[in-house]
Amino acid sequence: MPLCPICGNELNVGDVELHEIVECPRCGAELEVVNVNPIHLEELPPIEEDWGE
Amino acid sequence: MRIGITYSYLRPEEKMLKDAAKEKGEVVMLHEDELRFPTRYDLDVVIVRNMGHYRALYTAKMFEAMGIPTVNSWRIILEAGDKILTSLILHGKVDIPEWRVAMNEKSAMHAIKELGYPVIMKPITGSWGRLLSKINDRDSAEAVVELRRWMSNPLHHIYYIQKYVDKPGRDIRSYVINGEYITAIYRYSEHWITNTARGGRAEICNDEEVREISLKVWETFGDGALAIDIFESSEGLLVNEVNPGMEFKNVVRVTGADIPGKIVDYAVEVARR
Repeated sequence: MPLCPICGNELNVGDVELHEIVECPRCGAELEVVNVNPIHLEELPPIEEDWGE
Repeated sequence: MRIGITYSYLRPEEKMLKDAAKEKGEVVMLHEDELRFPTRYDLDVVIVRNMGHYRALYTAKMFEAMGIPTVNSWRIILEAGDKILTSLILHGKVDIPEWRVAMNEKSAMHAIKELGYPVIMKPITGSWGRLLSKINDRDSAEAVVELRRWMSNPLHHIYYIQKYVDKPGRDIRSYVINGEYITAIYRYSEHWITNTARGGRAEICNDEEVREISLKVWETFGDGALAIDIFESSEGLLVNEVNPGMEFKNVVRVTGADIPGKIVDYAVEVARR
């Protein structure tokens, strides 16, 4: 199982896709799926100034 | 029908759109890593879901320049994504909070005084309640204007100011897609910023006046898939903002409305225009 890059928690992310966002249930970090085989997660970058709706 | 969906991250919204688009044809997911222009894209329409306003704006412009229509269009992203342009479009057509635009610190202070405290100072573009300042008195006005002087983005040196609207602990978010009123929710929060992105609670809103004012907003823009923020005030409903890149996972959960399906239907219609 992939590890949370922030707290090291093992994450059961199920069937995820590339660039999908998942949340670590232990530390609450928002993570991006940057590789699917094997699954690798990276912390989302800080919100940019014009992100949103 | 070949439907492209541009995106920055695969949020629940993009996954729902992808599933809905599969019902209508072939779906091509285009992450920002893969977007380069000018390039030949074999697509009939593109649903623009980039999270950054300017990336969405120029993505739409580039596809349109290559003859591929987008949802939303470049014009709608430009106008609805800019609070000054939105105020200009709606002014005199739909009730909106009293507003001013000022071009420097001195004129900003005058504009704030004219409106009377409290006021809200907002960035011209932006979302999720980010960088909103509620200014209650002259001291805080001077502080906010002074802080903006040192913000490097020149757009922060153009001052968009709204008269503060005393809301009943909630605001309204409605959805109009291609001229069809879809649904609305109340967004509750004890904080003066009621955005659900800031933790506000959502509940369905069935109100004929909300429907009417939402459709009027859409007619004023004349096109698009629009998410409309509305305040209830002592003077009636006031349209606060219009959003061209709607998020909808919460409203789908609360209302059951098929917003992704409606967006895809709209994209298919745009492709056939």
